[in-house]
Amino acid sequence: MSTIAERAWLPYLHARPTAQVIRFAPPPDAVSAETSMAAREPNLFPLHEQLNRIGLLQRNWDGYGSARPDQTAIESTRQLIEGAYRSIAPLIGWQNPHASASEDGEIVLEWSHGIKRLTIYVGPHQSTYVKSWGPHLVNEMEDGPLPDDWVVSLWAWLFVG
Amino acid sequence: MDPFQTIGLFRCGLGSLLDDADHVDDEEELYRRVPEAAGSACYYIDHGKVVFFSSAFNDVSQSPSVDRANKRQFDPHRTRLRQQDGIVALEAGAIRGLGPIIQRDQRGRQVSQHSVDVVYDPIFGNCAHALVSAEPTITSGSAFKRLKDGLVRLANQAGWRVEPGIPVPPRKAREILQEALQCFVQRLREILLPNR
Repeated sequence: MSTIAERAWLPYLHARPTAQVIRFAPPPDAVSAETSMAAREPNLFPLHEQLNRIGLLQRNWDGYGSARPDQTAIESTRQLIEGAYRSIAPLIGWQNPHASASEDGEIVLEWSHGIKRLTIYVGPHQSTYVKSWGPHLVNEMEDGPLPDDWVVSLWAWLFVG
Repeated sequence: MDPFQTIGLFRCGLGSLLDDADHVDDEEELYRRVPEAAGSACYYIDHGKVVFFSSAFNDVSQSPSVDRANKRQFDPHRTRLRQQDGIVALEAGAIRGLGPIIQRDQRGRQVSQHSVDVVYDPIFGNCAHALVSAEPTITSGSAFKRLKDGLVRLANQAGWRVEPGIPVPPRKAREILQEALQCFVQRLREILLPNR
């Protein structure tokens, strides 16, 4: 093929409409379903299943006016639990929490061991905890924002300390 | 309806007009309806024993609703809306005994203190309605989360009064009339004795 023949199709190409590739940038805090599914630990499948069910709840799901569970909070919960599982399970074992939802749409994770209870509220922007070793709201409970080292300070308190 | 039943109904109505029915006594039982959703998002069964989640006491106004047992003629089924609903019975005194709630700021400093109480709050269609509330009203999420934790502990001790799945018995005309009369008397009290 001559050089002229090679270039003869170029004007034709420019005249035709061409497809444009548009790249959608996900929000910084978004986690794709594929990513989170690929990273799931088999032992956490029941918990993920429960989170899937919670994700389907609609507003006023309990008849007390509770908000629809927040989808971002559900993804954050998956990440939180996967990270905790990887750091704890090889060392001291693991117990799946029970998952539910609060009236504000936060995801609630609850563990209990004897008289001790640990509850983590995962919201779209921040997570908090309540730990209790009795029913008295002042003398036997503590709460606050979830610390970065919660696996050591809270989960270990529940099962080890 | 025989005449004795009719007299009994009016005695009941007159009695609630005259007694101090607005105050919830410590010995009173309170029914909390626990719904089933998302594969039991409010409770689970562990070795045959029910264990409640905090979500069993969800409330957007941060004052969980309960029904006074004596205003439901001690029939917990009357608090149920659906067959899937379970009922847990708590004692008012035990709820008050959960203690004051300390509300703190982000630095952990005490901002305020709330006392836990059960207050009668009759609403249209449910004259047995009461609220587990804090005085002054809770504005902090963490304080309410503590309250829910305490209520969960009480509920776990109590267990089911009515398990979910049991058919809701059909209500007799007498029961419906009795509750309607109570609601009427309550309305009358509010009009005649507004400061009680």
